[in-house]
Amino acid sequence: MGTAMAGSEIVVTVDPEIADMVPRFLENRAKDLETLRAAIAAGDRDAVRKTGHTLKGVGGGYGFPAISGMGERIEEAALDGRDADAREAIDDLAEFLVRVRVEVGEAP
Amino acid sequence: MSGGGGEFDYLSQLESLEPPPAPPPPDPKKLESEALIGEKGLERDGFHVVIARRRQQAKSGKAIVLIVEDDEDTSALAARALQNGGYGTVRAKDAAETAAFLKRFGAPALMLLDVNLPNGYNGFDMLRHLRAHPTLSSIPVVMFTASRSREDVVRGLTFGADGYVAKPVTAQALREVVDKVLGG
Repeated sequence: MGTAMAGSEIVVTVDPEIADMVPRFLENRAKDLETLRAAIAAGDRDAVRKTGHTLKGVGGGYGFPAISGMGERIEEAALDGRDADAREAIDDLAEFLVRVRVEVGEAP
Repeated sequence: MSGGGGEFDYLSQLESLEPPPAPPPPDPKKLESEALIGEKGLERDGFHVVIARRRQQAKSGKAIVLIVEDDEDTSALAARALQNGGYGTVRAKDAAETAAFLKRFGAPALMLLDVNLPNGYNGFDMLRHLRAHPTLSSIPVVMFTASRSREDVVRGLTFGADGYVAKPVTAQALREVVDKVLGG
């Protein structure tokens, strides 16, 4: 399973075992993005941290280590009070969610 | 499962128990040598999955794993992974739902326990109360958390967890951990 760039798309290959769960996973990440934007606009670093922590924990298991990485950046930036870094990671998440395209890998 | 007053009464009984005497702290060097499986991206932290001890295989019937996790996607992924490994699964989102399950059905074969949980009790609190409980103290528990600092891993194992899985983890890796802790 992996991630590859293809033009403006980011192609992520997911495990067939969980492929049917990926659309809901991505819908929930879009909700997380809205939560993050509202929280950062409100200066609610704790909410930013918590959502980043959730992203960190959930991304890789679904085959999206990039989302875990962005979650970790968001969590740590919120912990350190680095709002600009948190915003940048949130913007990266937004771009990722727009560009991502999912393919289902070969069954092992 | 739904919450209710009875479950909170039960929790307050758990709360009134003294925490168990702390076992000797595990040797971090030994823990690192026993780290078995994990996402490569986490390796810099030294821990991804630790199996602290292995239990006897469940005696008969389908082993039930109680997944305590407030994030729906993570919980669903764990349930899928374990069901495909032949386990039955039950899911709870917080301490109250966990207590309701335990009160009604008794001990599962294993608990997969998140650390950051809503509504007052985190996973470490729950683990300490479980280990002090007269009838539930021997439930195998695997911590299942994105909190993966050395401090948190050692804390979980010191409180009596049988294993510690740093999220994110793949379905296959999670199955292997549960198999191993249950003696497979």
